[in-house]
Amino acid sequence: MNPYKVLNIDQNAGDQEILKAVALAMRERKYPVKEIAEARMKLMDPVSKAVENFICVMDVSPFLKDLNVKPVSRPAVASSDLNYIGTPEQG
Amino acid sequence: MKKKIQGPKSILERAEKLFKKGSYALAKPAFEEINAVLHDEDIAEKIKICEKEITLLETKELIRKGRRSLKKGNLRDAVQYFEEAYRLSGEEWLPEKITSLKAEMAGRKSFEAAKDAEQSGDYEKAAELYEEALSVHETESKEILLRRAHILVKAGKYEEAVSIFGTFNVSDDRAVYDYGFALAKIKKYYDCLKVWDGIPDKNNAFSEQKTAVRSLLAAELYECFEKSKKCVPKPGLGNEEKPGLGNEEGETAQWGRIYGQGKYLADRGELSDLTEYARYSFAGELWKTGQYDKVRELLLPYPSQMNAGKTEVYAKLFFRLAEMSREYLTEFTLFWLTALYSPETYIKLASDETRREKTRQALIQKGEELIKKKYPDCSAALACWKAEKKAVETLHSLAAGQPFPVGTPRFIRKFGESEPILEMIRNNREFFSDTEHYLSTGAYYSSAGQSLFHLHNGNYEEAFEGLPISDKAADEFVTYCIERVYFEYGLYCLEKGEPGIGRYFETAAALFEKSPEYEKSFIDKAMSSDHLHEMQWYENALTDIYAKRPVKKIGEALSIIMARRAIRMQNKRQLSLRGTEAVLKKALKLNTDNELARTSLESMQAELDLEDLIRAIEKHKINKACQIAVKSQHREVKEEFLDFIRYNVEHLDDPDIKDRERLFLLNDFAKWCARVDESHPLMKDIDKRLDALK
Repeated sequence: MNPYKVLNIDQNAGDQEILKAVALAMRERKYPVKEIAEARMKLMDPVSKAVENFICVMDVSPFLKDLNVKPVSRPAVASSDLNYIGTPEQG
Repeated sequence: MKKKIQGPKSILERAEKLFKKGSYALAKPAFEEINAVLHDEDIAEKIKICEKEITLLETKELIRKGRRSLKKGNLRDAVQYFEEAYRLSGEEWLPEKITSLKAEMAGRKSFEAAKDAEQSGDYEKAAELYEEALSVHETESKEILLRRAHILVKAGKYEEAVSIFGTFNVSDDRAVYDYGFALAKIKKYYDCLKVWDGIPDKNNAFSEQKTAVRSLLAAELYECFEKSKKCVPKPGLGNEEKPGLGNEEGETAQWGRIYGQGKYLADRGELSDLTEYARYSFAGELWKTGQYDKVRELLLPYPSQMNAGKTEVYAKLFFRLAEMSREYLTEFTLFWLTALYSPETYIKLASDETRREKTRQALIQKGEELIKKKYPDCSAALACWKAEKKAVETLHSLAAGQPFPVGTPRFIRKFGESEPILEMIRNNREFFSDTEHYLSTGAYYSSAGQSLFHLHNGNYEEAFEGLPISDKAADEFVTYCIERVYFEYGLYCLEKGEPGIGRYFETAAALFEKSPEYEKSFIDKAMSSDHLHEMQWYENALTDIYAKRPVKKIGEALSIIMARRAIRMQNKRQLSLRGTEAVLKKALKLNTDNELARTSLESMQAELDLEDLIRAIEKHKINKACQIAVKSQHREVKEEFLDFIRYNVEHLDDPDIKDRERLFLLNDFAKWCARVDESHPLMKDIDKRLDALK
């Protein structure tokens, strides 16, 4: 169970936001009450919230840091400049 | 000869005959001739039948001719025949056929006209005419469609051309070129290149055009990348609001497209970093939607350089996958502990130290619970986890405060360097509470460490095969591994009942010296052995080990196993009393407190004395027998001897025995009897007999 999904909030949500999200989730009834209560409990406790943050949030930036994406400029030719040359074998 | 004039009767007879034969064309005029006179209703009816049959025959003939014309490709004649046939018969199917043939005639005209228009360069007109021709040429529709698509390309109507080509599996080189060209013109560069890959690159113009399209694709992907980069790399859960950047599904698809199309160029040496960027960003987006299997596909193979951040990503990914399938437990345990013990990851867990440590411990606990609760039957995975946890915890404590790479043994072997870790363990010998802890920690990180994990997984053959071959200069950690693997492989072979397993225990004494826990486990196994062959094997192994390591515990275990085995064999008549006695005495010598050997020896003594007594009597060595009876502490031995004497005394009543001889024998009996038991009633009997003789 992903408590952030259940309460539809992100990992930076504070206690007040969590409580509001709990009330909203209870009204919307998209998830069982038990799951909403469990999500609330997990996110209101600092340690279990940190645990959930670790498990639920993935940061791919460590893979991106090593990459050196070089700019690609537009080529001189545009698609409209392409000329029909017929069957390649015929030249 | 003059023609015979026929009467009405003969005409009617002839007409009837022809009617019956089915010659309606001949029958009809005959019937008409006679009915002009007779005006008979029956004949009138027959005339009608003849007319109907004649029409039918004519229709058949016309249809046959129509079909023949159709075969010859003469549509015009065919239509005429079918129309005449319809006029005669009114057959229901004919109008449809006639319409279809007329349409085909019109189509042919359109097709020919289209070809003419094509040749004169009026491509738009040609395209229209081909479309007209298509409406009637069902059987040749593919060819006409391709012609039309070709003309549409020439007419610059690329979208239409692409929609036609897209419905076919185009294989003809010209069509493939046209299709690709049309795709390029509508800026579908990737699709164009994929289509053009289907034809050989045989001339420069085509090669240059392909290169131009590749450049256009690269530029387009880069622009797309620049737009998408604005929202990545932001780690998230998929719940964030993203103003102005479209929805999450759009971003995911966008990165997916950049990756998929970029991969095409990257495989040909272009845009490799951009494609990699898109690959990982795409993975990040898929993670948010919980598509962990697809994320795994994107993140594998592992990068050549692993760092804390990447380790953390793999740890999370395989945690999620292991939640779904045991297939990923190995990878999960490979990354999880290493990630949590990495200082870079640890610092991000929480804002203060106390909470950080609590979070780490909670995450470790969560990992362990995943194995325990989700896969309670995976004891091997749990054993590996525990071994790695112990090793990494030790390493973490050892490296406290030092900038040192901490990781589980399997992780270090796969992504790091073991030697600096081994060096640190060696240099901090005093840190370890005991030799076993020191050696086992080093062993897991050593070159033979993988064998120890094979042992945890129950893969004994792999563990044994994985050991270094005859490494005389092996360091202490490798030596420890070898001893552990030999020891456990030996036990495995013992359980399988394999012969010749003694060699696997040659190093057991050295292992026991370092790790008393293995000695204890071995002794426990030996003591719980129940079958004779097992006992014998443990006795042999313990004898060898005791010779190298004569410690009390081994001696005691050996003593008990020896006694047990000898008694069991004696009970099964596989060992003589004397042999059993010898073994028990040997066992007692090894361990004087062996109560089993002692009590067994004592209870055997009566039997042993009796055996000796009987043997002496059988050999007529009565003095020796008397001595045995005197020495024996068992009443039954003495009684056995006295019974023998009584038996002989009673036989002295035989009249053939002379008195003198009887007297001589009675004196001997009295002497022996007195030595064994002076107060025995037999003594009185002998005395009485002696008195009577005297």
